[in-house]
Amino acid sequence: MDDFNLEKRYAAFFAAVVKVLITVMILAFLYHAFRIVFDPELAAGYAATMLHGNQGVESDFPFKTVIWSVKLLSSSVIISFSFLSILFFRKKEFVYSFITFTIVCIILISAVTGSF
Amino acid sequence: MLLIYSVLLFFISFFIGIIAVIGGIGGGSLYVPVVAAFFPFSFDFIRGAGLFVALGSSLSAGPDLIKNRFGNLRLALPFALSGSAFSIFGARIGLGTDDRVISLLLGILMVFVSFFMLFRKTERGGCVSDDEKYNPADFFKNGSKIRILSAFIIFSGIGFIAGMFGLGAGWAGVPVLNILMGAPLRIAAGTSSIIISVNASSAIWVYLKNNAVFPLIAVPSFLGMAIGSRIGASLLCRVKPGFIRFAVIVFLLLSGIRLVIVNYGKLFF
Repeated sequence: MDDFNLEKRYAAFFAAVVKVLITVMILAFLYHAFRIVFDPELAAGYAATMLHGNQGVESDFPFKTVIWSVKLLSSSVIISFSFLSILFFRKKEFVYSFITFTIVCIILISAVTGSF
Repeated sequence: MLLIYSVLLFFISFFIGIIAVIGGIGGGSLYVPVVAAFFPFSFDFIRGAGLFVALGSSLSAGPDLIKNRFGNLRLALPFALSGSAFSIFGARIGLGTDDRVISLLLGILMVFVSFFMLFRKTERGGCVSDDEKYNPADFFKNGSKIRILSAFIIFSGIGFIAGMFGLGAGWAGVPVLNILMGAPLRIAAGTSSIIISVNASSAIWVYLKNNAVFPLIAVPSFLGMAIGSRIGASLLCRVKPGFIRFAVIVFLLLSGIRLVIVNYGKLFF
């Protein structure tokens, strides 16, 4: 496997993951917007939150779905970089494999101490 | 009202996406100061959206950049490592500090960036087919150690700023890769985008934990920016960037000055 092949395989994997997640996020957002149009109380709560910061409004299912797709979008970097780390390891480029693995660990630490 | 704001954000981001690409600055770097200066939203949400815009755009562009050899993984990875670690610190400090102080600092930073762009040499890499044989491994082995170390330190700072203000900070990354690491401009721009995606991936978790990503702000901004950037990229070879670059500098300067004046007043009077 030459250098370019490694990058091509990584790019194809990454592109597929990102496309799926962005599609989920857009669909959830449209459903979220649709609900807001027909629920004035929900809209008022979100409007106050939008302007003044977190007001403790109970988030609905589509809102959570959008947030989760953002989380998964960031996780896609974890998944694809893990894949990349393995590819580098198989190519015996151990320094790059280690750097990639460390980046995965940093994002994982941020994720674990963050939202999960 | 809520959805009017979302629609407005979509069009503003669309417009920013077009001019940011042509003007040679990352969309996120223009988005945060402009929206913070002219919209009444909570500043945490704006930074969260800025980071999400930077993450989403760089992730969508990433595969194409790598496939077309504009983004170099071996050049990006070491700097993404330092940048991602510092972006977490930046995000934590940024969210733990008073909004008025952060807005004031952002205003000062934007005034600096506008002057930096004004005096920076205006090279463009979008349409030229320059050197594709650049090999970062050679540079890491045989290049000047001081330049490599400086690049590491600067990318740590870029990561910190990206996390703190929710910016992509491509305006800083591209010249560092180009000048210090000797990467051709096109490769520098593509590689900077990969670094931004890693920095933003680390920092966004801190914003998510603090409920600072609000879908009604983040998603329309991302969509507008994604569509606008694609149109901007397709126009890159057809329009002369001089005027648009000047417009970007004016936007940045005005937003920066407004942020400084408003938040200086809030803090001290």
